[in-house]
Amino acid sequence: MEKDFSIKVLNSFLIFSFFLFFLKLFDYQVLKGEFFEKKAIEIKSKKIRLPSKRGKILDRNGIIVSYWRTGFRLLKGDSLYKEDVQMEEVIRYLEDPDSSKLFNVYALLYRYYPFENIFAQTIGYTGLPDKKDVERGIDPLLRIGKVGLEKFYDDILRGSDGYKFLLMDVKGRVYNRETRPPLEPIDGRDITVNLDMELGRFIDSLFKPFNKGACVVMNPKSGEVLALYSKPAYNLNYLTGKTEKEELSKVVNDSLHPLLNRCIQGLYPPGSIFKVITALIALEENLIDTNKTINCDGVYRFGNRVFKDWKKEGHGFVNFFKAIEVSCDVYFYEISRRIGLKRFLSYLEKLKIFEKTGIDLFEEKNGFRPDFNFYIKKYGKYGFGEGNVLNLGIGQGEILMTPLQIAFLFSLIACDGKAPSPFLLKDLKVEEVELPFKKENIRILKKALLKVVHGEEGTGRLSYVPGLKIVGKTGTAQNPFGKDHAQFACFFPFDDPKFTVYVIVENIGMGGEIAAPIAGKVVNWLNEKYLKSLQ
Amino acid sequence: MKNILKVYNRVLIIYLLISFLGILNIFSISRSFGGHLFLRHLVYFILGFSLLIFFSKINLPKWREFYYLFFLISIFLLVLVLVKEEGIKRWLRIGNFSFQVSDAVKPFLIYFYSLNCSLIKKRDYFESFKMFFLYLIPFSLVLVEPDLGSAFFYIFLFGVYIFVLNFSVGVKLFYIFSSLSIISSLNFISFFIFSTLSLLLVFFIKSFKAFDRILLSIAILLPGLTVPFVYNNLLKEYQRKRLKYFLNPAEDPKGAGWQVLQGKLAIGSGGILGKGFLKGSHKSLAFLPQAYSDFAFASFAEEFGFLGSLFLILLYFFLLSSILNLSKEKEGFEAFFVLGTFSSIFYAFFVNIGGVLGLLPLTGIPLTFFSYGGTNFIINSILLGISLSFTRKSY
Repeated sequence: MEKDFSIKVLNSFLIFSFFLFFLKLFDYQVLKGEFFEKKAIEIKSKKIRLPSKRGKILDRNGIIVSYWRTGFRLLKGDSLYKEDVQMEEVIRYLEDPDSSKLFNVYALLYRYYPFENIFAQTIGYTGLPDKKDVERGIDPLLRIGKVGLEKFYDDILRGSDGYKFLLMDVKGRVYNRETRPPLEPIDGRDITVNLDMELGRFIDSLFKPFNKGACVVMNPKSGEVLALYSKPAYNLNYLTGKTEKEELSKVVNDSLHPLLNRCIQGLYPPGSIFKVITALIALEENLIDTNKTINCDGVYRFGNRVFKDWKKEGHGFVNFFKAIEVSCDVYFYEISRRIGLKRFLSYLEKLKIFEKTGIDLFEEKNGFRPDFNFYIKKYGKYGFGEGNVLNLGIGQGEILMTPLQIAFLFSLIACDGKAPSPFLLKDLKVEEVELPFKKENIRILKKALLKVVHGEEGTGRLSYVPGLKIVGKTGTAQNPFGKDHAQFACFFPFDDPKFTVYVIVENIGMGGEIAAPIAGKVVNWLNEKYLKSLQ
Repeated sequence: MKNILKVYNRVLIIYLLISFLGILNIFSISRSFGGHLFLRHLVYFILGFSLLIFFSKINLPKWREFYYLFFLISIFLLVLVLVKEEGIKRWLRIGNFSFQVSDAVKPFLIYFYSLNCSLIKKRDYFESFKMFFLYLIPFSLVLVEPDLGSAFFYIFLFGVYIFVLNFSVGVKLFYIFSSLSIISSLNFISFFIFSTLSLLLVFFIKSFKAFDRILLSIAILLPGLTVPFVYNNLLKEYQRKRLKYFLNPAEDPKGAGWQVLQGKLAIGSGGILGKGFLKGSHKSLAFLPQAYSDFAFASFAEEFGFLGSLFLILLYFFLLSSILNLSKEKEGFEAFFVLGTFSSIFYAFFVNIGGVLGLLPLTGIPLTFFSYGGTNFIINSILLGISLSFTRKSY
């Protein structure tokens, strides 16, 4: 009796354990089956990266600006160990049985720049994403653009890496069998830009004697930028791949600041080039008769102050055209006085040339124009006056512009006051900018500017190219830290402007002597390559 | 009589079915571990099956006069393995032949225990302590091999016998309280709740004498208070770790917790219908540890899915309940022997599948008649054969 009861209890224990197992199996295999299946596949899969191709960058003539070379990447587990390893080193790692277990290697395409340092800051380089990039969802092992065009058009150029999933056993041996369909890599798309790499190489050869400077070439009518040359530059190939870390720190600490893209980040006083604005304001306000002369004896007296002309002995009697041709400061002091500080500053406010031009580069900086608040802050409420406008009128005031802004100003003049903003990507749609001046006045100015190159006493004579009508203006920006910056801005041909060229050479002296001949050679080169074939 | 004969056939068929599924499973596993496993398993099966038939056909003589000799032989073997072998002392090697001693002594010990049980006249505390001592000896010897899982079988067997024998409620409660006391002592709060409630119960049941109450109080308090002492002072670091990882497997990255996880993944990824025979990838890539022994069930569940594994545990259920029924039909020594056979198979079933499913700690007990393991297969076949031999006699 007692035993029968006990056995019944044992039997219920058996039934209980059966149901316990039944429920647990039901839970694992029926309810969570798919989940476990997924997990099991994950554990048995080795994720193998299928690197994507970054899009190429081509210049306006289809010449390759930026493409690829093969390199190897060494991973320790899943995290990056060494970037851009050479074949011999890879073999060394793989031959060692200890390290071959630890390391994973795959080939990928690193950037290669055939033109090395030409337009380096404008083209830019690639690198591994930083923390912020990873936070916004960038694959931490996918190289992205860091600077310049590589950065600005990263979304187009950058592809996305794919994966394949290979069967792996518990010891990490991988079999050539896929555990799930691969995620195919998506290659980036190529871009074509308006740069002319051959032009860049030519400009570089012209800058050989100089340490620092910049050159901008653009098409005034379309806004296409053919050259954003900044010296000193760096070799892009050193900044991408194996040597990128050491090279970057080297470049960052260089006292000549090669990382600076002077064309869009360098702020310079425009010097006499700014006289074109003073002239236009005066014409617009009917303050001058272009044929009336003023006597320039080398100095201009204003109140108890004396303002000097760049030419000690003076230019004699000059009218508007002569004044521009010889860049007479006294003439412009006089008309600046006529304009007055208030009117001058209100024109500066209306001009859009001090803002970012909107070129497709993240690094671009604003220029600087003074206003009343600035003067009050700097000199106190009564510490400034009409004397300041005289300096502004000849471009030696507080105004600062980037080379691109100055080049764009000349493009605007070339197009009689209305021109599209400069841009680099081929066929990019850009907005037009308009100067607040009448077309007739701009045409008068252009006629005067023609004399700068073609007049007997023109300051830009050295840019002369036989058979070409070039419209230009020299500028010498005073530099408190050393020798002046030589500048020259021009466009050509006069009748149907095709190119704007701006050249600045830092700490070298007069614009007409140094910058104008460089610009002239660039003009000649452009003429040979682009204009002669049209005729 | 007729009913009993039917039991014989039924048990034999289920035994063959389980063995067949086991052979299939070992075949699939051996493809990634080398074919010798499969061939050996086949030999074990043939040997085991022959012995089962042999023992079911003969009448086992009852050596009542020197049944203590069986006990002494078993103890001798269990001591021998400890003395003779090095390292983990589970297998005794004699010439080219080696066997797992804790399994091999089972027929002798169960024979001895069954006779012992049938001879017990008095049913008091003292008699039960004397009886417990007989189980404590093999338990301790196996424990130091070390083989915790196999050692606990003897405690389990004792529990079954005590439960079935006509001991008083007090005696039975004594052992129940002792084991609950140990289990609850893993956590102070659970021990506190258990001890208060059970002490209250002991003092409110009127039929208990003072003697009962004192002994039961000791059963409630003493083991629970000893366990923390043993844990802190007598256990080795790795043993403590194992216990900790069992209680909290997430802490253990690649040990038992990892093994259980792999078992779960294998079982779970089988789904309802399974991946198909020979197609289980988790074990073929060696993610499943001990796929042929401890985790044989997981490997089977991966290939044959929920329906397959349900079928397998149903087979065990029918086998075990048939054996249980047989023991109900029997009296005295035979009933206890059949119950011993039941305990052996049930213990392996419960502990192995429970361990693989993550309900119990992993102990390394193979699934009887299904996992790879010669001694286990043959010894349990013998036990089953002897039990079946009792069906030929009617009372």
